[in-house]
Amino acid sequence: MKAKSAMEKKRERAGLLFVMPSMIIFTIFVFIPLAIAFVFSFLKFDMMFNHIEFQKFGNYMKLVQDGRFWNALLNTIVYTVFSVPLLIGLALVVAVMIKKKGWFSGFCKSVYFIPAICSMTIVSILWSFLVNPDIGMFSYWFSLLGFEPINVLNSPKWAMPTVILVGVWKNFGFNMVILLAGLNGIDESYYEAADMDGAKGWQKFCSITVPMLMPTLSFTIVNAIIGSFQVFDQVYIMTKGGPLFKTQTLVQLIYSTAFDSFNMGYASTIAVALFAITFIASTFTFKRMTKGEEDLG
Amino acid sequence: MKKRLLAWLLTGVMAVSVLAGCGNSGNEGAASEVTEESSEAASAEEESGEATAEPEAAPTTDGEKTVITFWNGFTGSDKETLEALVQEYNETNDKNIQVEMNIMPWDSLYQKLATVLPVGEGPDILAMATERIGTYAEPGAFVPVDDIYSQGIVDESAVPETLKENLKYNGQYYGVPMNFATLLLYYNKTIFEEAGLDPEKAPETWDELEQYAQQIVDKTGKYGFDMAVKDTTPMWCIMLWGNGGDIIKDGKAVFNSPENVETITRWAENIRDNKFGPEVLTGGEIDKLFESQKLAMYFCGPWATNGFTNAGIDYGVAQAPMGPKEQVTQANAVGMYMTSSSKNKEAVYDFFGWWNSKDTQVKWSLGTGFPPARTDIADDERMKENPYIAEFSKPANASKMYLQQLTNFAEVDTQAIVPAFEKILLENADVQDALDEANAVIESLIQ
Repeated sequence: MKAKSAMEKKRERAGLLFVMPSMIIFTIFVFIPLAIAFVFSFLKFDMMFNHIEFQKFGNYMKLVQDGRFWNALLNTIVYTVFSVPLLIGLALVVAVMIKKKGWFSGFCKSVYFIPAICSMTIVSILWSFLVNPDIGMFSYWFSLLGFEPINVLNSPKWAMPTVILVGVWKNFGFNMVILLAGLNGIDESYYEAADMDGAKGWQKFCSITVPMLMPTLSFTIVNAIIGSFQVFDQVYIMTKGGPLFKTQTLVQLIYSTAFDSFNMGYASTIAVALFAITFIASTFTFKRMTKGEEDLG
Repeated sequence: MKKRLLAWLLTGVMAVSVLAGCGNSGNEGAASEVTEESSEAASAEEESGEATAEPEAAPTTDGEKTVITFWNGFTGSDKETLEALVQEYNETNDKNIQVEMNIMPWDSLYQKLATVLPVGEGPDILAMATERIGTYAEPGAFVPVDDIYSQGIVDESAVPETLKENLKYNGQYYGVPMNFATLLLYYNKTIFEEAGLDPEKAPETWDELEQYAQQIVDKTGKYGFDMAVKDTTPMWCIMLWGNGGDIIKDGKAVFNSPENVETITRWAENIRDNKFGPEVLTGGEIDKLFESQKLAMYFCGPWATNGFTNAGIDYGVAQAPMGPKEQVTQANAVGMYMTSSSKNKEAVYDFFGWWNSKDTQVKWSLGTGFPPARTDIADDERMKENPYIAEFSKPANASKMYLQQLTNFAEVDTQAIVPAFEKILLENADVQDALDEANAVIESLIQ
């Protein structure tokens, strides 16, 4: 190891200084709560933090045997499996379609992006009204088409698809904008070269657009997976996890365990489990995606 | 120049998304929320704390105000009356007490409490439904207030009989009445006329209720009668009790009794198969149905009268129809409690006493349509201004309260009872099986 020069040391110090503010915020709001939750996950205590009992792995044993946990995990996975491809697929298709410059694509960009900057709470309330069988607009349209309107949010079969739909509707615009930025970063010369070689639109898409977009794509996919594992807002507002726990997701279960049952210890246990699952899933995806990139390299 | 601006914007966006992204991937969504919430609440408390700091030492010194905080969830049409009354108290009380009220949705209230009560940063006074007393009294978040009755600050003999036992936990009083309500049958007179029914005659028995509802469904195509299941003031229990059933009796779960199976089978068939109304509504949804004049009859409390009157609906209220065994309705109450965070017992007691005085109760009653939480003012001349109050006061001593005295009311309701009704109404499950399963869950929760 070479000893650092005074210049290097100085530069390092300046660097540290720059990251300090965000590191402090990060430590207070993320690392410390994370550590506390980890400690809590081994404890049992009541609302007032009395009767603190060390459970060893008791909470984790309970977790493994808890039907509600497995149900919530399954629901979360179903949500992720359906919403991530929809989110990314839709975002990619729309991004490619409106890539060209001009007022119309600019207009489309804003329209699709608006839901992404709205509050999920408001979006969920809005959609609850839209699909309401008695006063909802969609139900009215369906009745015009001769269908009997069903209360989708109250149907064990349709509640989850509705929740997924709302999540995709709101969030795909965000991914679209990121992908658009990625698309615009691809040098036109690649396409010109492909044109010279007589490549068709689809071939260009598969051989140029997708590979060149890989870094952006992997970012959006990992982000979407993480977001999907943490789905909560629309479930909480639209169904409260019902009917019959068919839309109860992990975060919703954590919430109700912590704030309805006041069982903070066990809620932390579920949170730690969710952290582990999300961590594994996103690392795995990220590895796969970056490996894909290197192969193309 | 433009480029630089863009670069700055991008940096900003990235900084934000990095923070948000990491916050999320850290996934202690719940935990970080907690810290934020508590720090937020704590800072809010600090502000009021500063004001209280001095008077704490000498609460009655002239010129120094004793500030007490009061959190509740009265976000509905009763909010205005409550705010006006608290303001009146602040202006007129002779002890220089200032009540600072914070009204928020019940959901957020419970969530906040979980983070402020353990660290002693909670409000002095909390209001919430009496079925939740056990949840907070058991771990010591509420403080017993037996002495407020023994000192006569609140008149024990005026508290409705049904309510008295349920302001207690383990034999000690933990609260004083805030409001008291009973459910009545609301019926839409316009729909009654459309269906060829006498709009001045409400159904008096289960048989009549069924017959009327069927006639409304057949003749008008509207909904006849319904009961909400989720996020609602309990309605099904009126039927269960009317047929001699119950949910928990003498500390044991009796949800799967033969009477309940009979009751639930009958009314589930009416709602689901005879299309009396949509299955498994929330309290909000059923109110909306009645307000949009699509539902002819349902059980509701006095809080709805103002809204329906303002919406121009021609409706009447009647006592719950007589069941095969008993005529009974559900009563519910919000109590006021002193939390373990409070250091201003005298001020809190003074406010409690003032709230339960005859005068305040008459004003509260008139403003909101709630029957008074005192049994000795129903005949007060002023009460005649609101015709509904007398109707809602009638069952005061012949009503039951739902799932009281538990430490985990919310869990019993959401983990056992609601799923049972969902299974029966939505998935056509066998009533006996669904109730057996729910009964086992209740049994495991109340042990």
